[in-house]
Amino acid sequence: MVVDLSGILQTVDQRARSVRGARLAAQALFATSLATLAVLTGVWLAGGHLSAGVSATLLAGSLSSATVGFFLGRRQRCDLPRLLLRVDLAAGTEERLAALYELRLRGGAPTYRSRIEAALGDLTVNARQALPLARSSVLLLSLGAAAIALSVGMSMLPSRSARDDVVRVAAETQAPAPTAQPALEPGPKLPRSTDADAVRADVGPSSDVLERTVSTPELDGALSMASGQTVLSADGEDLDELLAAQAALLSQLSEQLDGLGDTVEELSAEDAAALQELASQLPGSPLRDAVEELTEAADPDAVQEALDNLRDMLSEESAPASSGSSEGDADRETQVPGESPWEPPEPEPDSLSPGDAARASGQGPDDADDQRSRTDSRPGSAGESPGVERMLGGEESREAESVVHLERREPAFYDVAIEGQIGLEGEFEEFVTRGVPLETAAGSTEAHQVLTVDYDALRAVLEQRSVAPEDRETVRRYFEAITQGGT
Amino acid sequence: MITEADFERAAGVLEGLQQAIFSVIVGHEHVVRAALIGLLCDGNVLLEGIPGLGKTLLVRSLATALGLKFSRIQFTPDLMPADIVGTDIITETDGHRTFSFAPGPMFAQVVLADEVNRATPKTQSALLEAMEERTVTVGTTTYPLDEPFLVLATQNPIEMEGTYPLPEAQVDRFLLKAVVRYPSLDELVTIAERNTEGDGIILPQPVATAEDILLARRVARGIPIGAELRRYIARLVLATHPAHPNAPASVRDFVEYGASPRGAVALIKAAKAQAFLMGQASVRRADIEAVFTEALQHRIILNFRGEAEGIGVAGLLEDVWRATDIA
Repeated sequence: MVVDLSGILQTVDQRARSVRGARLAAQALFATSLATLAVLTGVWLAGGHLSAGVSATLLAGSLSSATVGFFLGRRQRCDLPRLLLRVDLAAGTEERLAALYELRLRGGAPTYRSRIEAALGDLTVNARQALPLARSSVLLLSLGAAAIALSVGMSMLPSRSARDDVVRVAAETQAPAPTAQPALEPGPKLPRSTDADAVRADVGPSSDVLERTVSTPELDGALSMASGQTVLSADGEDLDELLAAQAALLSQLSEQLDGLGDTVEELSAEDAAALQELASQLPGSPLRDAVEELTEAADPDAVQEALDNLRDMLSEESAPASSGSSEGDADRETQVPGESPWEPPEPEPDSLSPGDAARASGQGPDDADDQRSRTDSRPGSAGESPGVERMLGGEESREAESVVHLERREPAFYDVAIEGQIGLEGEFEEFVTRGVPLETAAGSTEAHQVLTVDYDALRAVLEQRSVAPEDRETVRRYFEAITQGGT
Repeated sequence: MITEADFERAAGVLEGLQQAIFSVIVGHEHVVRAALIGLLCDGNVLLEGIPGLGKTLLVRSLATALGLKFSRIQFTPDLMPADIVGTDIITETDGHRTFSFAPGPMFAQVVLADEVNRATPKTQSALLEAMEERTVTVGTTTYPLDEPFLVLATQNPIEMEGTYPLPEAQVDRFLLKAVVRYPSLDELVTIAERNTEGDGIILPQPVATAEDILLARRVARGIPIGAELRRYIARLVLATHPAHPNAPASVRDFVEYGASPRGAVALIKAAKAQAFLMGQASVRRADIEAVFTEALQHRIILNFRGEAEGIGVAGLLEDVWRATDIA
């Protein structure tokens, strides 16, 4: 019986290379996966969040290092005498394979070889049994795989800051839901965080100023108007221009009506044309309807009635503070004459494209980032246009690009019970803007609607509210407190 | 080139030799095996045991069975080197007086140096050249010894008064050291029966020649040993050194000097001979284990603490064996 020593050597060599490769792969996988996990954990603990691409790259790097380690291990030469001795020990051949290999290397009398081969008989080497994968390698592979799994989990976790926000929002949703108040009603209508109340208490003598300022309907409106669906992304200067244009129109209309005199029986063709031109610049406005009603009136009584109606509406538009609400407080009377409180129109649900609706509902962190960047860092017209379009509603709004009609409407607050719970679980999206007082967007009924604030609009309102310079720092601190340093 | 017939012949000679020896010697298998290993490896064996255990009979039986010239030297304190190696004497032939060399008892093939530790170091050292070089130098003339040559020395471990312990350099030249133990009850009964019944002890007839022994030596020397087993033997020897990191705690505590490189060589040679005696064509770990203690125990020097506490070297070697992994 001749032992196929060459075949045994090949089998043992292949097995040894595989085991060595597996060992190196295990070590590489363990080290790199642990490093990946450490990086992901560190970033997560720091409140950051690696993008899916970076996380996938890190994980792929770990797997790649294991693969490289495996092939490097396979390329290294094996110590065959030592391996054969291990095979001898495992197979119980009493070190005869090692002696046979020694005879093959050094030469020797054939009688020894034949006797050894006779002693070995029909030997079948089970290389897997003789050269098992070391437990340490198995352990490292297991730990590496576990680290990979943890890394995948870490990469799918929301960032820590977002999670904290979710927990905060969830905690607030568990509290008794504040009854939503009309935006024009005075007083602290917005639910405020405890921190905000504490800050407000800390400001001492300035608290009354702060109270007056933050309790204005304009402020409430500014805070509430900006949602994922009704974002007004114009900055303060743009808003001023819009308000100025509207005021100019109203002024022209008022002057035109003053030119008609107190009693009018019939409109001249020139007056009618001038009024219709002004009306054409007020699309969708009740004023335009009133102007059209005036120009189309047939008899003198109807003309006079329409003229009185138009003058009343115009006076209301010109004096919003006094006519806004009988419940207005003293602060409302200090408004600058001609200032027009504005409220963004509610978006028509069907005026948004599915894509807009999806963006407005904030389906993803990137959307939240985009939204934040639009409202924070894009003062130019490039960022303004989509917001205005969205506010005015689709194609119809493009017909009146130069004039924005700020429609006075009833505040669109709803008493919405937001489902949620305190803890790490729940269906809250991770991109809820941190530090925002709990409000849902107008018309929103889902808990995961984007809650955000248009700070540009807010700033515009504060500027037009003529907050004293010495009080502005207090106001600024208040909002920084309630946003906890966020945007 | 060793042929199958050579292998068979050498194996047959050894088997017959063992049968011849055991026809006279009762028990002491490991001592007989040590003597045969020394014969196969061209080495010398130190036998240690109390008097009356059959050491001399064993050596005589071996020499008789081998058909080799046998001499016995009883070492005493007044024994002089010339007494064992020979000397020049004046002879008168036809009225002419000339010096002629009278060989001493060292000029044999199997030499029994009985109670070698009783001779003075000067006489003991006279053995060195014969044991290592297989030559004897008298005056300015060097005389070769016949092959095969084997020195079997005995020493009594209990009567140490008036003795001269062998120096380490001389002890290291013994391939093996075998401890002759007292026979068991059955063995003692058999020994008594053989010595008191019939014609008493009858030495065996020669069953081998010098050529047979030389052939057996070549066959045993050709026994292959795996490279990793050689490394294993080297690790075993290194582990007997107290400063080596693989040395067991007992070695670090009680050993002053470990085995020399000659010990590693002796272990490999003895393992090969042991494998051949066992009818194997390759060295196995079991063969190494069988000769491990006998090949190294006389090469390890205990420190003061080990001597004071009466530590046995054999026990230390057991610790070394257990502490050293083969792979």
